[in-house]
Amino acid sequence: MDEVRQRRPHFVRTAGLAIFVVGGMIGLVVAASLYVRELDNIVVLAFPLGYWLMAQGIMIVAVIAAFWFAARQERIDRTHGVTDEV
Amino acid sequence: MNARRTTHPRLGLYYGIVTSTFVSFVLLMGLFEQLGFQQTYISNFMILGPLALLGGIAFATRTLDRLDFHTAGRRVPPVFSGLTLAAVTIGGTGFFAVTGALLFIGFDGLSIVLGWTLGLLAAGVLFLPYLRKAGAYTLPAYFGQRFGSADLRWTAALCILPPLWLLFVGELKIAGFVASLFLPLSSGGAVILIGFLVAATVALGGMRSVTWTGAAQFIIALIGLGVPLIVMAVMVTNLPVPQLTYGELFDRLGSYEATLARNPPSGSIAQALPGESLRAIARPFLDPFLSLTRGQFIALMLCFAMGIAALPSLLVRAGSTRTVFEQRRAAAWGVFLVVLVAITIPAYAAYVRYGAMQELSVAKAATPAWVKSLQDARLAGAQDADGDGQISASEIAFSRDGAVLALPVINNYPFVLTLLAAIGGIAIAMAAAAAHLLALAASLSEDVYAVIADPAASPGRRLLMARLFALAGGAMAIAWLTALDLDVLKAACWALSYTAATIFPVLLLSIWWSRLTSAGALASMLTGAVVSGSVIVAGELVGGGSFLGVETLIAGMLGAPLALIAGIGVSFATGAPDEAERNFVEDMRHAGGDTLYDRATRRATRTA
Repeated sequence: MDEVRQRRPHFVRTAGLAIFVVGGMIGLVVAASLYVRELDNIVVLAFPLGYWLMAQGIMIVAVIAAFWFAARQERIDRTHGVTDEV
Repeated sequence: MNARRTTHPRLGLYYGIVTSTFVSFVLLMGLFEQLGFQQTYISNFMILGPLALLGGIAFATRTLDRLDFHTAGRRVPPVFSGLTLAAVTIGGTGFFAVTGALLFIGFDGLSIVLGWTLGLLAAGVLFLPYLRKAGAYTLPAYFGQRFGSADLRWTAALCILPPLWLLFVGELKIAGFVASLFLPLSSGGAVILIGFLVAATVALGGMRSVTWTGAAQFIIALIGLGVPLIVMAVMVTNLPVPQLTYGELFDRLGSYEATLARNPPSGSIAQALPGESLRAIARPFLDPFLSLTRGQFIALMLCFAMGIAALPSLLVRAGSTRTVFEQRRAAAWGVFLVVLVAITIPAYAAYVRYGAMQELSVAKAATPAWVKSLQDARLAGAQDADGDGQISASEIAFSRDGAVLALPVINNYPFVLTLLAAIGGIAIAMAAAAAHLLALAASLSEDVYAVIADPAASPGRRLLMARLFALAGGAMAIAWLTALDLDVLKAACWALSYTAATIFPVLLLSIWWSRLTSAGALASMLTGAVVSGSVIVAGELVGGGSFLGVETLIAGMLGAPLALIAGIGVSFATGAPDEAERNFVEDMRHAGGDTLYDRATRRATRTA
């Protein structure tokens, strides 16, 4: 029972991180698709910004989010005494 | 005890050798072409040479060991695992059909590439690390392990058959179609060749062969997609980074597109997504929501994302990494590599469109030679509709799946670049096909044969059955393709929609909600399968493309929420899960320690 109680905060932080990463990305895509026409009026490096976000920007954010998630989750695990030693 | 197997120390070197062999082979062929060798020789060598190289890798990685067959020995390093994850996510369908779709509908086609990215990211965050910890050989085996239920296990195995089959047949078809353009074979003959190679790869070494050929196939695909495009980018913009510079095309592209219709979309997704028939470019590239409405765009994206996230052929790859921590990094590398392709193919489509429209916008005495070349290969059709003796941009229709091959032809580049694009796409299609076939064969052997037909089957017999199922699956797919046709892009939409409804909700609940009971899981899975399956089947047979107001291509949008509700509702209606199930979930969420499947197997052998 003690062990379960110890694992509770670990799970809360893990679930929070997962919801933040996945929910944040979906939110970003939906938000960008809502304002894509307005953003298209801004031109960056010859790209209309709305198009660029959907075709590149959001996906680059996704890559950063993926690596950031791996590092962040590893830190959560380590602070709760979990290591990948077998 | 093989608790900590080490990675092969010279793995990077081997892949360096494979890559440079491929590159020097292509350069050699380019040289022969310039020396005036016959095109048929060059095309035969360019397609068959790399296939022989891949066959060699598959043969060298054959295995007799069950752990190797199902998990590649649990020692694939993150980058290599990422290469294969990306290859399976994109596949030949992404390489040829999605690039082609972007050529026609521009911005609206981004829903699919965004779906891949979000899907693999979600799989890496929500599912893969936990499935790695569980360590089952197949996805249905994970369900069996999680709920201690053999019935759930074989039901899940039967539920995942249809989407895997559709995806497998689709990949085989597109690889065979492209190979037949360059080999002295009919498209049926090319399907037999590719199908045999794929089935042999799976039968020889299972996950081990699929992983190591898949990594090489993704590298070949990157070269095949990148090199022709970079050559064109250098010619047009003087910079070798097409992804950054294709914005410069938009001004001129906009003036060529001035006459194209800009009315808002009114039809269904099925009408908006380009099919296999030749089609003229009718929509401007940049303007959003001209082919799909915003709602359709988001629905299609979410169906792809949920389908990819829950795709069994991706999820079984979780067993192949060394630790949970490495699995997370592997998924991140997978997202990176998918994004590399996902930001390249819109650029590729824009360059193809720009090349064609620019060529046809200038008044010329004669129709350009490439129009005839593409017509001869049935990759384009041109008709002088207004009778002015010229083919204008609106009078030429392109093939969706041939768009990638059209870029070097339009620019009159050496033939070897067309072949390079072709073999790149064939390679990635084979990687995806092999992964789908492996997931299929492993499930049939481990979760259907060994659970229902012969529970006492020895490990060796199960392995043999998996190999036989792989060979039989390959033969059946070849037979299927000679009798029936399918549109690969639509097939991918149906398969991923169905997976989104059938697997995504139950998998999400089984990992993140420990209250889910065995009955709840079964209810969720069956609800998803029945709802999305009947929308797709009834919609296609009698509903004219939709059923209950839901289009068949996005059937997952109805199925997934209902499956989620069914899972939660039935779980509350049935009693709380027992101690063993709760412990399993707790263990699965603990990233350290032993792989649960291996621990259970060890205990079982010790008591026996």
